[in-house]
Amino acid sequence: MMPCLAAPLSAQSGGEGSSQSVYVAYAGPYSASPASAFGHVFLILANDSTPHALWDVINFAADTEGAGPLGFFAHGIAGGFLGRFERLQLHEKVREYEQLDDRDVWLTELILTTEQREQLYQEIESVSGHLYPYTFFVHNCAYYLQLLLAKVVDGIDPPSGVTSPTGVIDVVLRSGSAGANYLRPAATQQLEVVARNANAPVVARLRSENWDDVIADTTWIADLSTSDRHLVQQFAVLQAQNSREGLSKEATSGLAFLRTINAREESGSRGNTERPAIGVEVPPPEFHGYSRLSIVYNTGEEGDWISMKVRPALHDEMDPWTSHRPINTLEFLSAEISLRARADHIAPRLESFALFSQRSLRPPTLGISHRSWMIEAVASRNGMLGDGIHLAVRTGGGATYALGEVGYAYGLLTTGAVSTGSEATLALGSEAGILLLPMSQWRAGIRWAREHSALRWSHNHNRLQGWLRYDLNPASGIRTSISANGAEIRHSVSIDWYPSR
Amino acid sequence: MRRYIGIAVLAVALPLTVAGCATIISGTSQTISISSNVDGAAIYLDGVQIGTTPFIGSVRKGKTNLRLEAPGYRDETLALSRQLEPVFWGNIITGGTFGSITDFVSGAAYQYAPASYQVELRAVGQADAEFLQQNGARKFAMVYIDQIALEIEAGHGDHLTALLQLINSSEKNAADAEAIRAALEKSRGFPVAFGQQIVDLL
Repeated sequence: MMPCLAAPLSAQSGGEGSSQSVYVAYAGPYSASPASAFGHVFLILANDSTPHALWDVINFAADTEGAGPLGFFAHGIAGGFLGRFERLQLHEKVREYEQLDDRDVWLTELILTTEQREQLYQEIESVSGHLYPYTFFVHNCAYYLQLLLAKVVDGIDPPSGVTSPTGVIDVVLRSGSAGANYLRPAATQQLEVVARNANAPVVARLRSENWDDVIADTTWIADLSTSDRHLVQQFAVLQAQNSREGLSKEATSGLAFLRTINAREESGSRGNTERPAIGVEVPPPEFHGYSRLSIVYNTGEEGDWISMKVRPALHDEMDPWTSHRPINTLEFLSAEISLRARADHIAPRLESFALFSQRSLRPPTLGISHRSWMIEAVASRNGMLGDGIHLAVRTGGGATYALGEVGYAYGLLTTGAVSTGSEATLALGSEAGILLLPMSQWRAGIRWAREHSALRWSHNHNRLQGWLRYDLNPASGIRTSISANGAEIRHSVSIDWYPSR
Repeated sequence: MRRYIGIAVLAVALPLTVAGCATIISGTSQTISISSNVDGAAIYLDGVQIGTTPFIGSVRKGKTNLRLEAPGYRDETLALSRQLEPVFWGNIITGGTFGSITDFVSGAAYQYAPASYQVELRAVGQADAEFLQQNGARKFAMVYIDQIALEIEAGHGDHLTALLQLINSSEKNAADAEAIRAALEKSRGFPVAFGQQIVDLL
């Protein structure tokens, strides 16, 4: 452990004229980890007298060391973990989120007076070294950060109930103390921008060949233009950071060669001491709430009926965030309950329930090859074992490909277990879909899934669904869909609300 | 009921078995390199010496604690945590690494490149401030060598400025970008050597 000799925060605030701002930073959702699926939020203390890399970061995190998967899940839901505030430097968080996790980082400036900033430092010092109870949804990073800010900024109320990282951003934006907003794109996005200015044959080689071999080819590297060499070096850094094994001896030498040959060049505006921007300035982000309530009107062969969908925790591909294209869907404890006419009365009926369902669909990028996968524990009506509620646990993997600028096509192979209570079977299946996700209020998609019983192959089931959605505003939207679930065909139109907005 | 439980368990266990077979095929050991500011420091794994720094060798995958010892220096521990391949079967089942891996850059023992670890040993009696500056400058230089190299070419940049600030935090130092460039050239672009060149500027 490093000795805690960092100077008191007030001494690092800089001299006269130094910035009084802090930034509330939101690291976008990390589709490879359910625990990070809702993102993370932390505080950045700006300091005009130091480069961005050395700015202080105040981060709340839980100590989960030694917890197995079930323990992690159980303690995260019910409690048992302890968390604490930690002080880092910004370069550590940039490396962690932008480089290693490949996540976008959004910064919202919080403009404080000198007195507020001093008070913030005192609050940070007062919580330093203390342990606090941690849970995923209530006492999380967002809760403790908002609690901290509420003691300093009048326009920020203490948190209550479920607190989300984007909820903290939203509270800051509404506080009256918000300044500019910035986006720091994920590393692969940065690399794609650099690639646009590079020569096509160079980019093609990086996409198609084994990167270890490419980096080891110092003869080829030496003949590249400056901008192409930059691309190759940044590509190599990203590949190396995300590889589990060490670089080969040849690639190590190739990367070292790249570093020295790039450093020998003299380009750019030497002597330019202008501080780079902390990020790309963007409009204030607008986030969907995590909970969603839908009223659905359905028509089918059994007639017309109304159903209600409740999704207390949701993050899906339909969030219209500027420049962010999440294709990660996550549902937790969501249910659909219908009200159908039965003889002489209206009866509620459970149509579906998702204990947990996640699909992570990411196309390969220049820097990182992402896998696509899914996992779910759900209950739904009408499956390969006939009518009635089917309980299913499924998992699967596959690939996703980009279709132009706004489309994605994916395919998954799945395996699982399905049961109706009186009958059960192993299930082998496949799923494919196309998603259209323009950065606008429109979304559309089509999804097909077929499943066979591994014990009786003739038992199989098809599900096909097409949908179109329009967001009226961040708090509501309209969705229409057609679905064929086995022999049952259903048309539905729903109105969605996000109660937390 | 048991049949249903059995089927469910099999459905979950089958992919894990496949993943386990992949592990067996790829091996349970990993080659790592360990360097230190002290050459010849003894490296112990579970109490058994496996080599001295600089070290390249094989250690078992999984949670591994290494201890470095050298005469005249305080012992330092290097914890190698297992990093599972992400999420083909979903983190929640494989129980792998949830979220981030901040241990890359924290403390005196850190990973600066894949399977490459640097351990900063502190001399007995060395002042805190001196050790912190030495460790901080070396670590920053080694971890961000690529960003620094690109910024040297441009003549400016956040990482280059940060490294200079770490070096020049003592008033007796007055390194500039050319000194960093010379250090990188002298190190031939290798992180361990570059880190030492940077410490020599302190």
